[in-house]
Amino acid sequence: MRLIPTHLDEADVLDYAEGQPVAAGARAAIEAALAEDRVFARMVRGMQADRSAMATLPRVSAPADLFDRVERQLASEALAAVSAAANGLDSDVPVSKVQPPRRRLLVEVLARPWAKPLAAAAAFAVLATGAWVLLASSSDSPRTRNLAINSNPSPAQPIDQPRSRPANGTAMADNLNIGPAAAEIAAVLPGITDRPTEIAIAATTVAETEPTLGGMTLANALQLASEGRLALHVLTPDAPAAVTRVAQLVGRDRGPVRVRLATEAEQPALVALADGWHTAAPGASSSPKVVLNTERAAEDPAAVGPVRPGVATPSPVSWSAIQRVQGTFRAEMPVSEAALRALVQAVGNGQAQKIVFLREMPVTPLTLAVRSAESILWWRSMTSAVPRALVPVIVEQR
Amino acid sequence: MARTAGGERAAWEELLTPYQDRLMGVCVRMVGREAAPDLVQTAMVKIIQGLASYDGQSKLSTWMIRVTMNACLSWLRSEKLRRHARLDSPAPGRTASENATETHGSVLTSREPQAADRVELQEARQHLGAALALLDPEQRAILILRDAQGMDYDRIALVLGVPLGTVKSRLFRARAALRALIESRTERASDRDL
Repeated sequence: MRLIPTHLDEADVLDYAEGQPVAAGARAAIEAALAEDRVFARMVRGMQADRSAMATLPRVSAPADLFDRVERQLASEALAAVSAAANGLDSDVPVSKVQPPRRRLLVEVLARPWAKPLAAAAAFAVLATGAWVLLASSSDSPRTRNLAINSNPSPAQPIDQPRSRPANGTAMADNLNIGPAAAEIAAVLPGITDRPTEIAIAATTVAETEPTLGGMTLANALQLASEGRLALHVLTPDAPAAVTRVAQLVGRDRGPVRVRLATEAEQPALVALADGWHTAAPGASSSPKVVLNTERAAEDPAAVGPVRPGVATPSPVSWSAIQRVQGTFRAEMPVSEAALRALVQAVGNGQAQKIVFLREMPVTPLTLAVRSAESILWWRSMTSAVPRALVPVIVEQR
Repeated sequence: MARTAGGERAAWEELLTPYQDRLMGVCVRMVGREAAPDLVQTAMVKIIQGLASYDGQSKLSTWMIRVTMNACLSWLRSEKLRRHARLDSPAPGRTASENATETHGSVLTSREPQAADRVELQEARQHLGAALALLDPEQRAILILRDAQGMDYDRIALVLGVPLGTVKSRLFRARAALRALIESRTERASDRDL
């Protein structure tokens, strides 16, 4: 059913009823229709009255205990998630389903008269084979094999140091004798191992001639930061010290720059980035001439997308990169020269020219995110009109 | 969980406090006063849990209202299914619109001065509340966003996830549907008075 005269447009009538600007011709047509058609006129007047009534509805207040209730729900959901993960609830059989009792196959087989002698013979065969394997391998100890391969051990991680394979990264941090903040970082780095063979590989794959901080101008760096494509790469022989230094910046939010630990979701992408800087052609990842999005768009608009925050997509990462990257952080800063200098100085601690490298990130692979309530509040508290950027800081063992 | 129990609460509380009444308003208009506290609580939990997915492309308030509106629409859909399943009907001797007045109409009249010259306005608001409750949830949503929340077409498009053109056509139809419901209700009331 047509609600308005056929020669009128719904959008124009809506604008008219809402008091929005309407083209002169359309307005004249509507007003003529209002004068001629009483039903239409009544509808439009009614719409206007409804809009006014809706706009003047009394305010509603949230319940006084709303945040307590929210907190309780958050806690109970977190608890439910933990217990679901622990109990594997996904695979649970509904309680209403009755299952017939089943005898185990092993129990049934062992009940046969010939089963027991046969089982004893099999057990003896297994034991004999195990003993033979142990004797055969004793002449080729793992220590000798590792030393043969590992001819160029990393000075920060001598291979003759007593080691234990860490279960969650904390043991790794303890072995490296770094502070608790760095231990916390190591604890969340994915898949860290301290196997000597991989340390040796790491030491040989670090490029000899890294571009210096001066390889990229601050202007270019700021442009990249505004595009969300700038990273700070700290490449140092004393990575644990650098990790500790950067970790000390975490939580100190005096000033426009603040540093946070990278989240678990971001770490694989950051480690992959560092890996890419080594495996790419020399100088390609941080050339003096950076390619800005505006230039890329001119060549191929489809190749340039906005760097959208979100959860970082894990990329394939080599073991050697996981070995080398010892700390991943995210710095939040205004896109200004002063802020960038402050960040570089804080991270470099007087050695910025030697160990801090400004890196160009690819257009889209890194999607730094994790906007916590606290992070959003911090961003909103900054009154400056200068745009802000997220700059990952990756500390790597040279 | 430890973070939630610790300093994190202070942060999200500070973030959400400026918006809590507004979000509550959306819930009350959408689902009525009875269900609104639970819905606004659910919406806030979703907001806190989903902060990582907030992409900064829209205003924070727009994003929060979007999450809240989705929670309301989802709840209304599930309620509709539940009602169908129970073959539920309005209480004996009462119409659906009378039930609706109880949930939405009381909200619209509460806090109003009792002066005699406001009686007519109260009546109009009761009709409005009842008609609003009977509207299709999608239409109700767009009217609430436009008139009660004062949003422009662009923000409504972001909240509802529809193109700008759709916003205008859907809004016009929602206004027309609301008007028809109010008129039929007013006419019935006039018949009763006679």
